[in-house]
Amino acid sequence: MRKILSYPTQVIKHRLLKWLDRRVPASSEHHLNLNSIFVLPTGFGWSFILLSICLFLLGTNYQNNLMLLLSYLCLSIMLLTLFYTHQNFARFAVKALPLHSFHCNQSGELQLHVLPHVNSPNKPCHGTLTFGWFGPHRSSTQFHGTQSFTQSSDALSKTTFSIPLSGNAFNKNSQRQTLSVPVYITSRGRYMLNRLTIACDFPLGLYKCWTHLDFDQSVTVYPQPDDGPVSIEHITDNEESNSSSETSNANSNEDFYALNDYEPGQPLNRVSWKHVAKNGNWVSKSFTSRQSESYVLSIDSSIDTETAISALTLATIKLTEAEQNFGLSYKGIVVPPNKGINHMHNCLNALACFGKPESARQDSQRNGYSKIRAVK
Amino acid sequence: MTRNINAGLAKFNIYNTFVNQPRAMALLLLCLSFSSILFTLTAPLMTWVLVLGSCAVMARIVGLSSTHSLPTLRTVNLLAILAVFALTWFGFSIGLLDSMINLLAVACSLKVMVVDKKRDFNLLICTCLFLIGCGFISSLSVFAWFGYTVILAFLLISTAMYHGAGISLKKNIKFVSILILQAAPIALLFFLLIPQLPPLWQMPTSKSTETGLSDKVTPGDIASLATSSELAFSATFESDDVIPAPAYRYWRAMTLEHFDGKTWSISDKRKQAEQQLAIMNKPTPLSALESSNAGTVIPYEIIVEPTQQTWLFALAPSTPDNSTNSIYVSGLFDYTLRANTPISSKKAFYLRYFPNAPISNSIGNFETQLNLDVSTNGNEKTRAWGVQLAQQYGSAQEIVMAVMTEFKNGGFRYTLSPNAMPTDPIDQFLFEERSGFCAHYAGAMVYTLRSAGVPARMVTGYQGGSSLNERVLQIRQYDAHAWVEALIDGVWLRYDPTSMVAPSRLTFGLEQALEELGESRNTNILDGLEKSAFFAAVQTWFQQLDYSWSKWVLGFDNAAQTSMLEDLLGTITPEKMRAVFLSALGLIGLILAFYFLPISKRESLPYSYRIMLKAVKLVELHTGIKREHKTLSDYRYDVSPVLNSEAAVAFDQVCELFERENYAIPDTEKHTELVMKEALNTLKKAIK
Repeated sequence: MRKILSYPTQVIKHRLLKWLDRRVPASSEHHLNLNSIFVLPTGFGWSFILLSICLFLLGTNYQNNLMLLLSYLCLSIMLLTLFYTHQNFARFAVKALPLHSFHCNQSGELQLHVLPHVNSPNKPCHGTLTFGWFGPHRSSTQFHGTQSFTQSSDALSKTTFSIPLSGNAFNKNSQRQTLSVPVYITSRGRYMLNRLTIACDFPLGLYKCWTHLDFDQSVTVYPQPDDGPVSIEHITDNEESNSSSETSNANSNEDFYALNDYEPGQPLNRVSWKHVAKNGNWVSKSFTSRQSESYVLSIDSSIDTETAISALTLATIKLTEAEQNFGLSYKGIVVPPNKGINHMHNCLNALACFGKPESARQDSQRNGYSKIRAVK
Repeated sequence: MTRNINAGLAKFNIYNTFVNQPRAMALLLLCLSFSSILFTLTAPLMTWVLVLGSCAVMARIVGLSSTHSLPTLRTVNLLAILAVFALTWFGFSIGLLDSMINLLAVACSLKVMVVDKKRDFNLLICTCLFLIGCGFISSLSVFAWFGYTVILAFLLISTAMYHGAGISLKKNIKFVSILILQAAPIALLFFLLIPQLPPLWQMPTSKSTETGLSDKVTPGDIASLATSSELAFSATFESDDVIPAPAYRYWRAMTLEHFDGKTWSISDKRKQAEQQLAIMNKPTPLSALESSNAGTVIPYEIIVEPTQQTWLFALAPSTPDNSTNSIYVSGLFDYTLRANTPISSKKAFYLRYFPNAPISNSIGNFETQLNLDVSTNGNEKTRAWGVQLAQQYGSAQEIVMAVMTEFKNGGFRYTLSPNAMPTDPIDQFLFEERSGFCAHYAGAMVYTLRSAGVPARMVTGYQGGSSLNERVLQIRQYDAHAWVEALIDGVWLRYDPTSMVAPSRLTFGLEQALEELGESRNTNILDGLEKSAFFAAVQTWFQQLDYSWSKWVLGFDNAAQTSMLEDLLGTITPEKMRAVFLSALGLIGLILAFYFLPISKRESLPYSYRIMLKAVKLVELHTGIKREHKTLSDYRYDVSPVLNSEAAVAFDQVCELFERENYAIPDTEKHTELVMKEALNTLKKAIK
């Protein structure tokens, strides 16, 4: 029922987005102008107009010219404020910084640099900006199931954030202001950020100026890290054996480095049994310079895909923290062993995009257009 | 000691809150504006509403600092319920209009205590603006307008503080002042050109503010009016020759034909007769006069202060010029004028005075009978005197003259504060006290004449008027007067017994007359001040200002609007009106363009920046590659292959100099600019 009702609005939204794409093309930097700004009175503005009309009626009925004058003065102020509001907002220029990846159900941050506007480099834009993402989140039932979850993400996508501007004049003394806008996405994948609605009601709150800007930013949303039965296969460089004869070369070319909390999935030979015996804490020893050793993370393919991917994500993060050499092997994903932050991002990227392009396309076909468009 | 420190801290906190939080400042300003609005509305507001309002404002201001807590929502809701009960209880006695104003003020006071969301704040601003509108119902002077505009400005500043994050108070004050100054011409244009409509429906009027004459006169009433020097109305004539001499300035308002032994009032019988005649569609004597072309006609305009009553004041006989009056004025059969709606604001009326036309006995025998009716309730001596006069003299004329002579020679005294005469007032006045005010004389004379068989009635209105300038007379409340009309040979003739007792009352006005008699109209400390020349000059200036305000702003009605347009355009046709409205819209557009189009945008840029922009423009024109948002060095890289070598070198030079000037420490500024200019010129030549 809800879907039937929402269908026409989806079509309208689709049209609107197409029109917006022509009118306000995507760019990482925007200098607002006549094309990109929309203005309408706010609720306060409408009540102000209503008030002026009431004063006019009162003045007419009492044949009271002062009341009429007051009413006309209010109307003129309303008229002038329209231009002031637009003039102020038309001085707003902003540039988006590349977006960092984040895990789903966590919030990422879109960093926006406030710039001096090309047309009025000396005059700043004032007021409190209100940010909100244009349109609701996609209902991502395919991956994270329940209806309530979708609704909560809808509510989150509608929340707005207010940030007061400190003035973005071209002034060598002052620091440029950076605005951070939270991005909240509930399912993994690679996304194009949708349009960001920025609104401002400076100076009197009688009008709302707003714009829908496409910053042309893409972001990879990593899967949610979670516990799971990850199997860690140990491989050595010389490919002689992959047995668990760890103890034999435990003292060969590695130095004891530190004690960490034991994480499930770590080889048992790393556990410091002394500590376990003494106070029951499972502590694992870590060693430096383990170049020669690497692992491959994998998981039983009978386990649900999302659970598996979440488990692999957690394992990837942990192993990177432990500065291990590792690779991934799960269904279609094969990442050769390596180490370091970049490697972790590669792995997480692979995990995030696993199985996504097809499903995302289906989604967009089914749901029309949504806040976040998945891309390859 | 600790308490002192605490108090000091609290003060410091409040101060800090105001300075650091724009919203607190906005609320403080709102509270100030609201309390000043309350202060101006003391007349319609009940005392408890005022107290509630000021308490709410105090609570809010104290509550702005974190050390004090505001009343909870529960307390405010409880207060609201109590207030609703109180309002309904008092509502019946104070009338609809005042109840509405009280209701608004109460709602505003309660909301002030719980304002926390943007919505609440906006609602408060709107309510305050509406209260300002209500303030204009009773205060119409220039000063009221000025004061309310200042309050409006405060409200706008408060709104600006609330919505403009962190803009300083000073900047907001500047912005709002400019905004109001810019809005004023547009508002004026609206005022001049939007058609002035007649009242769309009947509005409730305020009960308490009925002023001026009343339709019942008990001798002594007019004396109380005499203490007020408020303006009653002003009359504007076309030139100073046609203004009647002081002794003939009788502004007739009502005829009081019924007397119950103490009080004179408009006769119920006459009211009924008027109604019947109106139903029968009988033409009134004034409409007959209008069409008769009888002698000279003097057109004049009166601007009446709000009285909340319907009667008008006119030189008798005058006919209304209803083609220009915004409120229809009807003439009655006793030659008095009534407006169709109570006069609730300063209003201009256009009248035509026929100095030579008589006031005839328009309803014949009915009127004669009505004015021979002698109340037999007491006053026996007077009735006996009347009968005696009738026997003594043959004609009505002689009887009247005898009474007048008696007033002149009988040792009567004119005074503002006669002794109270509770029983048989006329007997007591004529035969014992022999001192009184105009209403005593007029009442006694009418009673005597009726007893003597001469139809007579009491007429109330104003007599006199001081000239503001050569064309304008101002009539104040202390000019209120009562006189006598006697029906002799079918014509009502005016007799003024007061003129027998105090001749200077007619020619020089009340103040002079009282002064001669050793009395003063009012006793206050300002008396000495009023006599000084400076004070008099200031007072005259204010009166002039008030008159101009009344005439040009308050009195600007449909007629004035039409005549203004006719002066501008000649006869008005629909096509012309259309052109006027279109050009008005165009004018508003022009004003807006004047305000907002960036004229001197480039001027504010630094010189080097301007040269750089010029150079970029030249290159853009020449190469067709737009710079858009590229950095200067990127753009240079893009265009350098397209330019010829000389131009490329010159452009590079301009760019480098600009960058050095703006991003490095500038060493010899003048020199750099000159070099830049030269480079620009080279670029120009090279491109050509």
